[in-house]
Amino acid sequence: MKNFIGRAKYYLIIAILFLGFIFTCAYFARVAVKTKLHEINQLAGEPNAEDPLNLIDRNENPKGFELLKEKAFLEAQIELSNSDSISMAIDLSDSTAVLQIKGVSIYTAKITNFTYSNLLNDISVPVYYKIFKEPLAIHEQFSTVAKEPIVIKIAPKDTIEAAKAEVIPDSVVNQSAVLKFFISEDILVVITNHEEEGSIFYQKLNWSYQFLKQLVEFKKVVYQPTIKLIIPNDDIVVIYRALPWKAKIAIKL
Amino acid sequence: MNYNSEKNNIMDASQNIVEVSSEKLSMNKKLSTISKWLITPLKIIIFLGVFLILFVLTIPKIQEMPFKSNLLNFMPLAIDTIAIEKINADLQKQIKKNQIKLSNKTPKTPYLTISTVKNEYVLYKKQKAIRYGKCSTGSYILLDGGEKQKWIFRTPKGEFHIRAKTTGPVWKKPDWAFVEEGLPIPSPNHYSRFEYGVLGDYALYLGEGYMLHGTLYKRFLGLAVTHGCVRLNDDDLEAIYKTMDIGSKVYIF
Repeated sequence: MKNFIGRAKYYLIIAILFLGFIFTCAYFARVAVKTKLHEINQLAGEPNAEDPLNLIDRNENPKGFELLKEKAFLEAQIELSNSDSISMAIDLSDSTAVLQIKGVSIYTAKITNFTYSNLLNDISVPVYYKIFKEPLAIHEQFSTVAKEPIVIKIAPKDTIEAAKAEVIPDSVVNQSAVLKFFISEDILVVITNHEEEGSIFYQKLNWSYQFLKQLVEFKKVVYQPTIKLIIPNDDIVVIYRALPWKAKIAIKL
Repeated sequence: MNYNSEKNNIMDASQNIVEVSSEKLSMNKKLSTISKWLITPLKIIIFLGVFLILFVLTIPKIQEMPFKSNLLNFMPLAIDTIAIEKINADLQKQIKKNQIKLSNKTPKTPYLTISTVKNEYVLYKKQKAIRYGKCSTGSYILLDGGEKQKWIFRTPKGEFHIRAKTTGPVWKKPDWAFVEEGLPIPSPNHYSRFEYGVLGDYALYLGEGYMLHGTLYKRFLGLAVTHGCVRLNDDDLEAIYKTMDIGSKVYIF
């Protein structure tokens, strides 16, 4: 009996320590989000009583907020149309990702599913308008497929060697594609073609590793708002190869 | 006599039992040591595993929980229904204006979109898709001819317009066509540079040597196999030739 109580105490202490650790992590995770939200909300500057945007409240005037989102989206697209480059307009309310050149829609990809960080629902209305009324610049891109599937071919020495050379058309399109766009306001846009339970757990595991690493190294825990889109694989490749390295995108949440 | 021998047998048997039980005892001791060595790390692994799963499942969820507090958001002013209606009406007006502005960017004249990834085209007339089909675009082959002679066979992306149209086009083979076939490069106007009937019945010029033209290799339509031009089958080429005028827009992505 004595031995049992001693062991129970031992396990209880360990459990409390671990729970304490989890609570500490949860606290730092929340602080990171709150800090990011504060940073983003600061973009709108001091609240201006005369600003009509303050009259648009997400809860009190949801129709007004939807209209404002549409207005911001159109303004961003008009701004994009002034550029010669290919750009993209992501409309989550319509579940479409549209490639555009000079305001002309040239390709529409259907978004089959999407999620985004709750932080983007918590930002104030004036800040939403300020962020999304302008195109968001892609600062960095990452992809599992090549932007340009270049195949190097050494010129044949003669006609016999030339006849032996075979043509292998690009097959990269069949690879599973994942895109990551690091855009303005420190937002991450992830475009993938599937949402498997295993991959979600793996992503969470990876997130946990990065989080714990930041804690162990006494670094400030940084939160990155993320927009995740599920799009068919072919369309992801079309989008990635069409967009230039420093492309801009318009987003409507 | 019998009694003595029986006694001896019993003595031997009991000795054997004692030996066997002492062997079992030492065996048990060994087993318990091994199990201790095995069970303790197993306990630690299970404990850490449970902790890890708990961490991975809870912390990212806690981080993504929405903020109920409006402290960080700007406080909306007192809700005035008339003011809200006026704001919404203003927003609707601005949206309408912007929608017109954006739709005016789409050409009223026929235009063509070409996907270099899917190797498909769509022909538009009066802003509506009237024809679509397969085509072939640049193969992304980098032909290394040595001595600073390198060509990359990619179809350029962006907005183009039809600069010229012709029937019965003749292909003037550039240098790379000879290098690729392992042949010596002839003089600029050598007769071997001119090939008849390989570009189909029509050609539409996009500038810088790029064309929309026909092909003898119809089995490759839908694949990225060209040297940068866009190849089409005979019917599609004819329809495009007849629909598009000089100045019509071509969007390649």
